[in-house]
Amino acid sequence: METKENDNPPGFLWQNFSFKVISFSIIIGVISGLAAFIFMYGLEYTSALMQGHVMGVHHPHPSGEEITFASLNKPDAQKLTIGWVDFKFSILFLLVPAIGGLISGILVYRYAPEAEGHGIDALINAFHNKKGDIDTKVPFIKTIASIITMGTGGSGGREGPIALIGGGFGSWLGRICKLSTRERRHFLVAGAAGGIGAIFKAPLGGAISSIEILYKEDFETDALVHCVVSSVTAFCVFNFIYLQVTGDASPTIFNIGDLKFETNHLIYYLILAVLCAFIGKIYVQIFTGIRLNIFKKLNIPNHIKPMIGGLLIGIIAMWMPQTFGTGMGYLQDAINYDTSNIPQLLPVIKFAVVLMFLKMLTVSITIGSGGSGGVFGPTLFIGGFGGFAFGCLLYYLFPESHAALPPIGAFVILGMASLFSAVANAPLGALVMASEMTGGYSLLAPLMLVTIISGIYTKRFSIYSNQVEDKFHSPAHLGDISFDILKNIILRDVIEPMENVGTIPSSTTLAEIRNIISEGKYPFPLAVKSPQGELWGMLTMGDIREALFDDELSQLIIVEDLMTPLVVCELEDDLQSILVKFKKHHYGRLPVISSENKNEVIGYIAFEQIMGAYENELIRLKTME
Amino acid sequence: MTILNPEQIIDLQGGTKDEILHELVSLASQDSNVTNEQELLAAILERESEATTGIGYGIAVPHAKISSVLDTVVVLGRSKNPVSFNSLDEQPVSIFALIAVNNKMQKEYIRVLAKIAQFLKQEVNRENILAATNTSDVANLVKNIF
Repeated sequence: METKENDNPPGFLWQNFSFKVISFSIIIGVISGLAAFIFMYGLEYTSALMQGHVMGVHHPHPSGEEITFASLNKPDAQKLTIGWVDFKFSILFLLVPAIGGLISGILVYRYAPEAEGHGIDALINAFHNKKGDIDTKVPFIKTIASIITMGTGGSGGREGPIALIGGGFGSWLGRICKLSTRERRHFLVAGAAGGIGAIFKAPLGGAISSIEILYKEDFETDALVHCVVSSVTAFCVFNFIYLQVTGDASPTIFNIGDLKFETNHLIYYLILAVLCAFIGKIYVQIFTGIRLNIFKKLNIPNHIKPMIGGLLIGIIAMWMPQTFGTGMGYLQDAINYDTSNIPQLLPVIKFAVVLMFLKMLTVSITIGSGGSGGVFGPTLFIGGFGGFAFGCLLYYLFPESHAALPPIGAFVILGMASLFSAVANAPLGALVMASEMTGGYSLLAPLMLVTIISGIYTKRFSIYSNQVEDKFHSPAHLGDISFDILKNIILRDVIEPMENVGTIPSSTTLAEIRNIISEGKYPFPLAVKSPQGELWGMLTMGDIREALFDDELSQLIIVEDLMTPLVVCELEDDLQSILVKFKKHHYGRLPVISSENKNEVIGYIAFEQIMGAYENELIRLKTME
Repeated sequence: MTILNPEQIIDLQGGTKDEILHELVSLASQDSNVTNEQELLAAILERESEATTGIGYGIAVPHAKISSVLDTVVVLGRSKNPVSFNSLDEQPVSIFALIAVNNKMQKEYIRVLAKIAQFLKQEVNRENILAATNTSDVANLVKNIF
């Protein structure tokens, strides 16, 4: 009798810890780190040239980013920080983002339409629906289009493009090395993790976010090892080049000084988390509304749309130029903001709230119109300024209790993480990213709290439209899920009692077999019994067919001559192991034996019954949801 | 596919079913495709115990399919003195064809069995085999069976 199949549980973490995984992940990490630096360098240069030099807008930079190209700024460039500026009409504010949008639109829609919008969604789509494949030209087009879009003032983040660039390389490497679809998917995610981990100086956050953003309520744990190795490698490569070029070895993007968590601050953080969930809901509605209800419905060629988007953000920027570009430097200003000047706080609160909503608009217009950029960076920006406005409000309302309030930087950091958790359904990635980007590990406890709370409130919506609920809903895991379902069904619960359980003696002649077939008493295959009464083999119609009508053989051939190896099932077998037997032996049905007497057939299980049980279980599970 | 050569044809000396089967297996085992003589003998005897392969007309076709036979092996034997073989028509047997194949060669097994049975059931073929002066002549008679 055949022994039971020994299947390892799929998805066990250390199953993935092989030489191939490590070596491929390192290669992907090296390329992702290198690509992240080239992308950042190109973006900073283009931003300084087009915004600082041409438009005369000088944005601040985070403390940990030294590639500023400050020399390119106009001598009379408007040095911006947190605070209102006078409305200033400038034809350049209209022309530069519009031309940038047009070039980006032509590039994307002519050469790589998949590079449209924010790269993370394209990556998620490639993972779930395209077997981990990204067209080779997409990363290159995405890099150039994103640098042009954001460099000319388009509102977006760096993570989307770099995730697609890294992911695109991982996918390409998987293709040329003829890796399986499953491996290609993992290396696609590993590439994204490398890009994100490097550009945000957040190796663990990049790895965790990459496996978390694929689902609303799940993780791609099978790719964790790939992502960690790739992300750490990319982080090291990026930092090494960064140090060589800038002389800066800052381990984090933001400098937050010495922030401490105190238990009595928790109540403020809880309120902030709920507030961020509310802001997140509005943000996602604006984002999807502008994309689907305005730009998708606009009856003009697609490559023109980013130009219109550029015009609109130019108009908004005349009123509030802080909405241009990635805006990471303003978060640093918010973290360092001096809250001691009470009368000044009210206009700053109004400014922060307006900036927050205008940033929602500009990022929605930029990405929704088809411009290239990510949404993670702007989400941090919006969340950070939400937290900043809330913190400033508390300082304004309770001028006598400043010592009891958390530092303003803590509100900014928690706002960043809380909003990202809310809109991306990625609480763990959000808290780790926020900790690594700021070095604010002392805030881990409140970060956990706010990301979970805001995440719970916003489970029903996501800024990533291609995100699926969980592995159960992903085509990438269809095979695993089918197997998991079958593994949980026991044959005893499926098999129906049979009245005529047939077996056939091994000495039955071909002539007698003909009679059995003509009587139609038993379907085939049948289990064969030896003269000693033991189960011995299987007799299928395929075995008989060759000899059936040969009169010369009618007495010469008996069942023993025709039978094939015995395969049986037991009542306690799960349907997964039985399906494996069907696949391996190609029998239409298999005998089921009694656990007390291994030579007694108590029924047969047909392949169709397995499929029927699977379908019934699927219906049952869907009804339970 | 093994073709019947004079070396695979034997004038049998045994006087009983058991002796005849031993002689045939011994000859078949000289073929390099038979890797275990005892296993083949056991399989042939076991098959005979299931049902006789003496199909009447003075012929018997003992056969077995086992893993220790690598490719099809056929040997032919004739006996001057017909031997009792528990045949279906209860007549003694004078022509024997032993067939051994690998257990995965089901189609080949049926094809060879059918060809031999078809050939030997023709009276003229049986008479020619028995009348042939030596095994080379028998080989000539059966060379087109397959």
